[in-house]
Amino acid sequence: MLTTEEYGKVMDELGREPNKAELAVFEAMWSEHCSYKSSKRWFHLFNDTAPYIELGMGEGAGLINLGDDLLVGLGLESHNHPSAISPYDGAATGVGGIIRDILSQGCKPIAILDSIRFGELESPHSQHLFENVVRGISFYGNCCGIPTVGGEVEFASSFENNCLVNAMCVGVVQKNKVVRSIASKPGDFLVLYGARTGRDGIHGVSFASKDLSDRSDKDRPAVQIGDPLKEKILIDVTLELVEKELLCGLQDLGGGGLSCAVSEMTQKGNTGAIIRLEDVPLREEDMEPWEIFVSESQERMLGVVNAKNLSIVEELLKQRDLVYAVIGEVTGNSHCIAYYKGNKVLDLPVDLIVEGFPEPERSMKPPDYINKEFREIPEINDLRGEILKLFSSPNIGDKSWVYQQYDQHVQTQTVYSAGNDSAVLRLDNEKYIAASLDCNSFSVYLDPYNGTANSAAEAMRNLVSVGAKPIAIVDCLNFGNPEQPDSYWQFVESVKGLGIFSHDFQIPIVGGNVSFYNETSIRDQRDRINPTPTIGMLGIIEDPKKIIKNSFQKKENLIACIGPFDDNLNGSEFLRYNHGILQGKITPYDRKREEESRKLIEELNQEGIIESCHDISNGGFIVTLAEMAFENNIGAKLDIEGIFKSYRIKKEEFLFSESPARYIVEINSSKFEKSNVIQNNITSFVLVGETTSEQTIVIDDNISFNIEELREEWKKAIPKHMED
Amino acid sequence: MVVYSGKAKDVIEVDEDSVKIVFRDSISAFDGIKKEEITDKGKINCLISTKLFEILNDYGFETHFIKKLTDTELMCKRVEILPVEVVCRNYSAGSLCKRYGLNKGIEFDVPLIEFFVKDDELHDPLITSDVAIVLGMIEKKEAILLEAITRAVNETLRKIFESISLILVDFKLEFGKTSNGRIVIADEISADTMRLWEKESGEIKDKDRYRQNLGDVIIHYKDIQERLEQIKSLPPLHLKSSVRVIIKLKESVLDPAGEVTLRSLKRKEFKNIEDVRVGKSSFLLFSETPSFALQEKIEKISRDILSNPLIENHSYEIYFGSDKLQV
Amino acid sequence: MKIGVTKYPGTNNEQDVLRALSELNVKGILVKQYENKPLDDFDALIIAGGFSYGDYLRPGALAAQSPMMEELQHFVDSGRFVIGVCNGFQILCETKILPGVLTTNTSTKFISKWIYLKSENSNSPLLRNTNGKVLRLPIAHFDGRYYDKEKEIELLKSKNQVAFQYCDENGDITLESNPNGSVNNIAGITNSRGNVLGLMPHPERASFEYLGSKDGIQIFENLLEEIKC
Repeated sequence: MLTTEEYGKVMDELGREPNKAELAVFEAMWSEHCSYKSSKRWFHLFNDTAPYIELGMGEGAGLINLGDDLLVGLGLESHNHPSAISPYDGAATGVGGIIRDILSQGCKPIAILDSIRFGELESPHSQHLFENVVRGISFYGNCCGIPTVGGEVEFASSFENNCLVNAMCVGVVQKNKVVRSIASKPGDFLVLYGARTGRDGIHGVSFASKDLSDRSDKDRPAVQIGDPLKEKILIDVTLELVEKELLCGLQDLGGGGLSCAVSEMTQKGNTGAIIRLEDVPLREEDMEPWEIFVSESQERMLGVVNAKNLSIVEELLKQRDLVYAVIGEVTGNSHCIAYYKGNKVLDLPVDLIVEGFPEPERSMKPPDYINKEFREIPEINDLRGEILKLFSSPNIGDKSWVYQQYDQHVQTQTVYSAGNDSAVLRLDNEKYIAASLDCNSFSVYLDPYNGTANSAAEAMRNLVSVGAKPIAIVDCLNFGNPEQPDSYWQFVESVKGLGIFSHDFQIPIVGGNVSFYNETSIRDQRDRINPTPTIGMLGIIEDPKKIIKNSFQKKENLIACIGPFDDNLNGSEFLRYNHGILQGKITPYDRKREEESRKLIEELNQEGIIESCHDISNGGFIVTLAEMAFENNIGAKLDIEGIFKSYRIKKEEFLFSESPARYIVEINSSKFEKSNVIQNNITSFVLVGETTSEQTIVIDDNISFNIEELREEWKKAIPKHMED
Repeated sequence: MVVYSGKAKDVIEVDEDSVKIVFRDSISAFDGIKKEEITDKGKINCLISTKLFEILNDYGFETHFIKKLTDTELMCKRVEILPVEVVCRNYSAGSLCKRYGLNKGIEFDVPLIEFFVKDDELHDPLITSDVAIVLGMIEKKEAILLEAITRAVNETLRKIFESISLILVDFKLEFGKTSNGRIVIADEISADTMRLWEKESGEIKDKDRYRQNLGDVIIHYKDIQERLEQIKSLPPLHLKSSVRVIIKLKESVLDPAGEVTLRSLKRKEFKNIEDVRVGKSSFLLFSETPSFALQEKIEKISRDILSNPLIENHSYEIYFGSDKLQV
Repeated sequence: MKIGVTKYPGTNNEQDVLRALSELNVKGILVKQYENKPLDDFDALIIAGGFSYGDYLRPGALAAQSPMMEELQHFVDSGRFVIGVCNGFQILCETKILPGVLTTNTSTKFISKWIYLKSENSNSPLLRNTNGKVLRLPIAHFDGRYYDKEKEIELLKSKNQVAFQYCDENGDITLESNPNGSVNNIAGITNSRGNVLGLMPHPERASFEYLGSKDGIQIFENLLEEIKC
């Protein structure tokens, strides 16, 4: 529904009442989802440029030039609301949508990463959502032949009623084949191809732009059903059209359907369009013109085709058995005009549709919990038991239950798949890229600014620990209701944090998505997600020989900790999962420390003495160490007593703190003495033990584990809730 | 050789696969209690039957009718007549009114289908399809097919008679099985086996004239026959059949989906649940009338494509019309 | 030498197979369903994996009904070689060129992971140099559970048609190493003549050093070797 202010703006601009079809267009296009009306005023805080960026925010994919004119396309989108209502189809169509987003620029999709969040796994409702979201992603991505190579899963009670499903897609395209989502030449034809148009997903965007309340079950028709076979054919045909340079413009039909694709493409091209809605191939015969125009049926693309290519395009679509129709033409008059069986049903200036909305004034104030004092850390009597318990947290535990349901290897480019710090892909031109997708919603909750910057830094550390250099960011900002001042404050603080990070490290943001209203009001009870700015980051690996392993490689190597020690346990999984505490101040983002640690890893890698590396994140040092031991059954013997004294921290702080800017590295012991890098950085480089042939992790004389013992807790953490 | 001699017809063997049906002028009612001879009655019913069988054949129904030999003789496929006959009613009339104390002429939203046992001694009693199946008169699959075919015939004849200003009130069909097991529409379809009323006046045109002593039987029969002869081209009817095919895993084959479902149902404390087998159900819509040929086609589709016979069993039901809800 | 690689709507491994062949300096030829190329032109055919027709009815069932597959029996009878990988194996079973059926994994989940395989006593030339070795290949399927009646399995074994069995790192064929519940850990089989091989694991995804295994390329080498003879 339009607000009174928005309706007034429409009346003023048009000088008349909008008709039903026009109103439907405004409702779709001026929704939060399509217009970014509450968020776009803050995007100037982002660093969005670098010499190698070929296309930044604003279209389906951000394009990054890797050299040799091979571009990597990135996109990241949320499909939260549909997944909460219908997890299987919601997640499946979320994957479908992000694939078509990057396809819009002519990119061949080569990898998917997913970030998914649910309530605690003890909850049957969360189990149901989790199980079906994973199945939906698996069903769709696998069938399309795109490997799902990474991502993250997080469980927290705040996501019980508002799960998050964010999907990222990576693609490649030759620079000279790039297609833009622009219709710039009057006289060009608009060709709609792919699936037929039905009533599904009508007003899906306005649905995504409101609270999920008790009544949402009745909104079921607003969720679309995906058809991955159709998507696969659509991908194959589109790539052929792109390769043959038959398209002057291309955009997928997502939120707002045709109304969005037509108005955005013409608005960017300073053109207009005439559409004949009766020519749109329908799945349900009795659809009203406005329904046809805003339907969000899946697997559809709108191509702009020059008259000279039209018959070739039609021939190709016919041969591939793909439904298509020439539904209109590009015009020069900056209006979007739609006819239905000869009657004009809609006539709107495209500028008004795309940019005409009044930006609402949003107020902000910090939530009450932000300033709350922190409770004392509980006394720890059984450290060994605490460690075992931590490994049984679904947030810490093995995620293979999830990623083994995803085809990780199709396209034969997956060098590192899920389960590593970052995915690593080998491209056709023998370049290697890495990608990670991260957010720690707990630290963002406690401090949106620092938590977001630290989450971005974590995504960066994930790239660094496989030997990649971070070069671009896509984000997906999942927040509560922007009309609530405290939710809006979380959002703005978070954007500031991401903005400062992108400038500090000169990593440009090339695309993203904002998902507000992840907040439920049931009987006046507010239920808001942890603010979750999911950060997707792309890295490049110049020399494939310098790809770093994430698990221990050899016995009797040295284990070192890089980065500052910290006594801060706030926001840690240890406090949250083991003791139910989520409050206090987190360790702030520190550019200098992040930079130093990163530089040290890069130099050690250049020197060739790193055997493996893993960044310290969820669960802290002990979890990171154990994860390094699991893969090859190589144990570790720690020697850390000295550290507690020198750095004045307690053992549990050392083991569980998740403070940023830290890595564990395994150093080849024979090369240690000769390393100039280590000699020069001896203060930031702290030896903590060595790898052993025994399959044990020995923390000190009192506490040690068989690797198997820890691994079993870790392996069972998710399946124990999902299987019998 | 006379294979069968009925109240108004004789069936004479022609060869192994075909017979000659001879229409006589006799007419009877109330299980033969009332009977007499009416001149030309055999000929008129033979001509009506001929015309109606030709129409049904044209619309793709499978019937026993081959050709007309003379004005009182039809050449037909030799069949074994099924022991049940099927009645379809669009309006209340006749025995239905008596049985349930209904007024005559109530129109039914959905035509009624009834099965009767062909047995004069028992006075052709009503039988449910369940009983007919248990008594071995027909198979379940056949009962469903007979109903579907009868409904399709009803739809067809209703439209045909409407075009000549007659209302099809009800009718009876008999079915036969050919030597190679095909089920076809058999016997006669004439003014003796249906009720027809004049559209405008409601005047009775069928055998009820004889039953109720209204007189002029042959005049009205002849009128029906002449009106039918006027039909030169058949209207397009777009007859459709809908089919539900159910595929189940064979008992001996592990059904992981069923097991997982069973476990989760038990977890939710649905007590006393012992087993879950997950199957597949498909809905198929055909633009043709229900028939034995369609059944054969569906059998092949179900066996060769929709299921894998190594691990799966199939079953199906054929319905007349495109109403998916019915399926 | 002409090696065809099939592509149906929904096939998505065809480029991977072509890439593996090109590692052996052979340019495979895509056989697209809509082009109706006659199979007779080819020396061998690789039926690539993916989700032909979306696996919508049953994996491989709809592809098995396509005109191309009607020609396939003749192609096989002529003694030429056919390899079906993953969905290709499912298609071969649906066409009845290979016995048995591939049905839903016992986990009722898609499984994508690296597994170990062993081939023993196979008489197919496509498996030369693999006998007794433990190979490491990835699987990626929802319906990979090989099933046939007990006496058919006995027949397969007696005629040395079991091409691959799932095993552990040491080559032991164990319950734990069976990822999908296949009867007798069967991962791949051949026809009795030995010119048709179907397998669920992906040799083309284990044909490159940088992907972590080259164990799969042997199968393609064997194929090329046979065609040359």
